[in-house]
Amino acid sequence: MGPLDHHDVLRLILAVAVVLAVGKLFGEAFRKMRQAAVVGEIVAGVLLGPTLLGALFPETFAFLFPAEGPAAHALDGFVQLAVVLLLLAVGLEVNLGATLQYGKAASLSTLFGMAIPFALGFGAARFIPELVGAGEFDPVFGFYLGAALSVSALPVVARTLVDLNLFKTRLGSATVASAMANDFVGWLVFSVFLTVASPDASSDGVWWKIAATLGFVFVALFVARPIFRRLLPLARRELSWPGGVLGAVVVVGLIGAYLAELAGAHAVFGAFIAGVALGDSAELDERTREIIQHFITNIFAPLFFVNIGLRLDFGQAFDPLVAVVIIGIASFGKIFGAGAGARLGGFDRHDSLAVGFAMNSRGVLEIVLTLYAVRLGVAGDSVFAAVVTLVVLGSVTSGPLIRYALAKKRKERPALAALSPKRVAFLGADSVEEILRALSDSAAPAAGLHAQTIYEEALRREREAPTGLGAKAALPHARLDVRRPVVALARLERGVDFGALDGEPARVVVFLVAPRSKPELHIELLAAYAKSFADDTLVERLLAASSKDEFFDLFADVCQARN
Amino acid sequence: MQGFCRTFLTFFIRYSTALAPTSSDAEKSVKTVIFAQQLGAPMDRETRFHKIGAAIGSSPASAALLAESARIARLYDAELVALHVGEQTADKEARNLEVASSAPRFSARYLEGDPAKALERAAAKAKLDLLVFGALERENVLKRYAGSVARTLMRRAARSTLTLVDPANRPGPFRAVCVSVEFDARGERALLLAADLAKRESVERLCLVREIEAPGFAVAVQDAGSIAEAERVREEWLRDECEKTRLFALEAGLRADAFETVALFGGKGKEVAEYVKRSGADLLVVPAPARTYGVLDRLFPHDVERLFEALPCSLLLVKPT
Repeated sequence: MGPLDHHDVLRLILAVAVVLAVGKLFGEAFRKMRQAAVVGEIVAGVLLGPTLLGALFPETFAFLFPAEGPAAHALDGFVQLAVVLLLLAVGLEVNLGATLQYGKAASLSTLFGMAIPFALGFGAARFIPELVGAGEFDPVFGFYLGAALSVSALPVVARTLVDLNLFKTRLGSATVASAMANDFVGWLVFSVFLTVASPDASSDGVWWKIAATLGFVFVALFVARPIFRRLLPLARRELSWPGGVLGAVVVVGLIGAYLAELAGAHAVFGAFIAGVALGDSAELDERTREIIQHFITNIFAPLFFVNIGLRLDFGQAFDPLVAVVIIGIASFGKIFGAGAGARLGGFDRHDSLAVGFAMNSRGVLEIVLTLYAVRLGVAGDSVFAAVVTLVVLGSVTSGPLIRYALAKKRKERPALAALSPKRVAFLGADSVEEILRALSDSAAPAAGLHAQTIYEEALRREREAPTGLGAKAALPHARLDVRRPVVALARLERGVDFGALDGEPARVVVFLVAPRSKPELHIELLAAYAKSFADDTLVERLLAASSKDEFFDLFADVCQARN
Repeated sequence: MQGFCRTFLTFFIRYSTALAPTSSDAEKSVKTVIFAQQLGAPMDRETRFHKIGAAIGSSPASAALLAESARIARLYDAELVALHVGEQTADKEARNLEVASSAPRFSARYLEGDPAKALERAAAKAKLDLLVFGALERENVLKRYAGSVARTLMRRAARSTLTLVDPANRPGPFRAVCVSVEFDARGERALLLAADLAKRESVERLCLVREIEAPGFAVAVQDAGSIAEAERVREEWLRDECEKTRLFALEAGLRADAFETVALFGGKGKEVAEYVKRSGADLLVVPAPARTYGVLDRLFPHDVERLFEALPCSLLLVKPT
């Protein structure tokens, strides 16, 4: 390849500008529709590629994105750099310690969530190769297909969980930990695949390369990582922030990529492991991570994802049968596998299904794996088109599917499950003691305790410190030996002083009996009910309710909405 | 969110006016004693130590550690057992007796063999409920992987452990105590124990620290497209956790004005270590993990393992009874 002449430079600049502009435009548009930006960027690429622009305006397409020549090579170089930096960014967020913390659920979800789709993918390549875009059985293709179908996309999973307010929950944390482990194992598998699929791979050479890859991982995680942990605070102190630290991280990533190539692994794998070695350190604080993520994924991600569409004539390459089979076995294997792993790890059936749906989010890894598979001649364009479709569908559907899985669970959330329309009373009582006695009588059957036991504990607690919330609400409670929390609601005909700071007598009372052995649940419930009363209009609406059923429905709806 | 905070604030400010100090309290040192008397943590058997062991050798630092252990034993009116790793000699006996003479009840055992194993065995045999030992503030790479005596004991001991950092130069009493809060039974016990100790020591400050770790959050932020939005979500989480921590402490029996709360976002263990360093606390109380940590936890450190590395101040690791 000769040097870029003036014309080539202009074409390159224009191509990069168009790719970034259209990619960002579509990415932002999809983001506004609460979808992953990657989906928009892939769509942008398809539209800019031979599928649309190339078909309608072939000369413009050929001018912007030549197939050959220095400008094409230079653009390809940008894309290679983009994928390396993208993988550095992905690696930065892998926290292997988190997987250990959520050990059983995360590990089993990862194990089954990868093993089952891998087996299905390999099995499909073995027994029905023509239906998955291969002419006959090729073990290397089987390995690729199994690997491609078994991986998930951490960014999409994480974003979906934040949107659904599940990120900080046990379900969210275990799912993210599983996605991280999934990423780590997936990239290891990718590296092995590249070694195996390389045209110059011999049986001895393959084992040496695998050993070199594992050696690279070992050195990165157990030698380089502790060194980074010491150096990162120094970088934070001595270099400018965020520019200096950002530059240092990028340099480390690029050097990691280079060293990985020297060791016989692949540059993208090296960048990923460098990211893991850097990012696993708590010294890289949250703000710095966010800025690094923003920088890399807002500039380099569009370059990469749009480029996918530029290479693919979707109209010609797309085979509906191949796409349906691949998407079907990928989705079934992932949802079933990850869900079964979560169930074995201790989650209930709703949460397990939600984990399965979350882990079916797809992204960078599938696409990079498939790109390399196509380049090495292992997979064809129909498989590429199917995998791109899988990525788009998986990302778009994961959020709604998780909501569906948890819809019934929401009604079973402790804050709602503790409520019952049978435990609503409209009372004419005039004292705290009378009210607590009436509510204790109401809660006793469900709590499985004597009403007197509940009353005495509630009264003791009330005398320790009054439970008036203010704004005419009160939240008396007792911690007793009950299996599940029980709540009784009351509307008072006349206000009763529960010692609220604003001096307002209470007209609405939420009485909670919580398990003594679960202080965390007790706190969650108190916080949940108090949060419901953050709605200033709630008490007035409850006072205006014409029946106990209406009163209950109103309170339950607000409780659900607020929590 | 504002309404939620307002509701909680009014709810819990109420606690602070429930019981005012008596006039006799006002005659004493205003800040510390009124604070201590208003702590209100129950003097429950479970929050006391009855038999304390001090792991010592023959160095000058050991003498300081033994003296500090004797002081803590006096606080609890507890028996003190010196677990001396090394040969028993008359000199050592006399020295130990002299240093620990202020402890209510004192005895010494002399141990042989691997220090960590010998100490564990002796502590189990003596039925200790607290084991005190010293530690370097930072350890080198080999010690981190291989495990020092202090770390081994912290990880494996079946009883609460108190790791004193540099007792020769930082003798007690403790002035500022931080507690890492977990909303479960372990966390409740650690909190009650810390509050009880704070009361006995008449500390100036008791700070409850709640950490939120959210691995992968930066990736979610990147996909959501807005750092400002991430900041908003983070602030909301921190406010929620701060209020829940306050609620947790009040439900455990502490008075509202007896403690302060702070919520931190970031790597668990690391954030509280940084906070303790910044705030100048001299004791950090942490509930022990629910499971025993092994080699993998050392290779990929998280929460308590990070504290073992950083050790910002003396560390009381509370195990369940």
